[in-house]
Amino acid sequence: MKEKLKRIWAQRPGLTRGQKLVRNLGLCTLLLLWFWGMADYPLPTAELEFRRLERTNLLPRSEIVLAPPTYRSYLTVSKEDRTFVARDGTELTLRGRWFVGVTEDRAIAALVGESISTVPLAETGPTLVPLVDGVGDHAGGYWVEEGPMEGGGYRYDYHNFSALLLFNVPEETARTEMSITDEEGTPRLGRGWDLEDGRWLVGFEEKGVGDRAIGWCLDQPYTLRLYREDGSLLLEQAGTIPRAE
Amino acid sequence: MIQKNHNVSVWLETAVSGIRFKPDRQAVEEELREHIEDKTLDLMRIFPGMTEEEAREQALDRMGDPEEIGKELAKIHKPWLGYLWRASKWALGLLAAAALVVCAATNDHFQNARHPLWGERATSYGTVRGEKAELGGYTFQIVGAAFLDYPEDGAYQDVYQVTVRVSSLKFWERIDPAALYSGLTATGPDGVGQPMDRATVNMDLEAGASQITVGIEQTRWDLFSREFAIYLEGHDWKENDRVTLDFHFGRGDFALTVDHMEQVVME
Repeated sequence: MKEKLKRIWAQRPGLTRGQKLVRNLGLCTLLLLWFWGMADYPLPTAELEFRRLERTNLLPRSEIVLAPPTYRSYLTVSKEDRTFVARDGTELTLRGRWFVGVTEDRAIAALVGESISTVPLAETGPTLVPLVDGVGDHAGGYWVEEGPMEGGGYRYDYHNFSALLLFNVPEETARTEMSITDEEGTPRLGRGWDLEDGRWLVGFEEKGVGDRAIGWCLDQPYTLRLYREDGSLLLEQAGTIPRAE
Repeated sequence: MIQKNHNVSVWLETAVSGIRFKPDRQAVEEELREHIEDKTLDLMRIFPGMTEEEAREQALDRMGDPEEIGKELAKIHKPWLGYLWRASKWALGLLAAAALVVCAATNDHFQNARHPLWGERATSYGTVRGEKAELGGYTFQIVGAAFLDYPEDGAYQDVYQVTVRVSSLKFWERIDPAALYSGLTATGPDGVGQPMDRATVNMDLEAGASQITVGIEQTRWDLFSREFAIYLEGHDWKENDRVTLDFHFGRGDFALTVDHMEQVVME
């Protein structure tokens, strides 16, 4: 048997060096593709991942309105967290890499690596986009208050909030306020931070641990007020927080 | 003897000096050395009066100018191909070893435990090659259509099952099942459209049975496709019962229809 196997091995077609090189590179490519698949086909940038989410959900290619900034480790809790700097200098961190894009008739909100959803564009006035993930939970975030402690040292207070994005907000807006009546009928007041270019992040501070219920604001009535620099009311808009499709 | 070997060694060293890839240089040097020895023995056989030293010198003369030979050999033996081939051997060896380690370390060999590359979860019945549509680089085709006829006194209800395959050559971008569930409405023979973003499940706790009577589930998937079974409540089977699947996506809408349902008697 051993002799027979040796004869068969000796009779195998001889490959030139070039052919062996091609064979080796082909096998290497197959193995690398397998490793790629085992890792769930990661792409090099978050934007590529967002575009793939659009394609695999058969959504049209959108114009990106909000993209996650580069990761910054200072005061962030997780490597997926991304920190935005508002016009007033407040540093707001969202949990997860969120994208918002706009097409002709809808806004697309995507959490990279997780899920994507859409809401219709507002016919007039600012569009409200709840940042909602695949299980209907909306984006959480936090801002950090730093300050000296009595007796020395520094104190870091993490303020958690639930987040929604407003865009197409008029340029002359200096302040935003939003109130939403939650499922228990309690009015909750949220404040906005100007991210520039007509985008505002509206946050509803969470009362405590476990306060943020899954999708608490979806389908709930809201009132949005935009104010000018001089404090006068620029726009008041009422509606229902859209449930993402 | 040392002088003779030295002449041969110097000749060989000059002849192969242009070959930069070491394994090739060694192999060619060995071959040339054997050739010189063969020539020497031939000369000694043809001219019996010739000494070994004279025969070897003659053999070297007849081999030619080692510098010219060196130039020709350098043109033929490209070092980059040799280095690339060697690198490819190492790369293949390392990747194969890494693959074995990964397979041994994961529970689902050859698979990503979170998103297996292929698998099967449920059975599809009534194989057909039905209507096809293309959108966004995906091909949608009905590949199964059956009326599942369960016993009257059993725990399961009669249902229509229509199977759709969604395929794409881009294996890294298979369709997101959530997109299909939210974008599909199925209409059975009763004419009532049922959105597939929700499901009705029939559960018989005593019998330990659960069954989707209205809804969708993924049945099979592989590198290039996913198959989904769509269920609608059925009552009396007719061969020409019609089921229409309306797909509504951000990129476009289309419908697929099947009007021949195979009756499958289930036990």
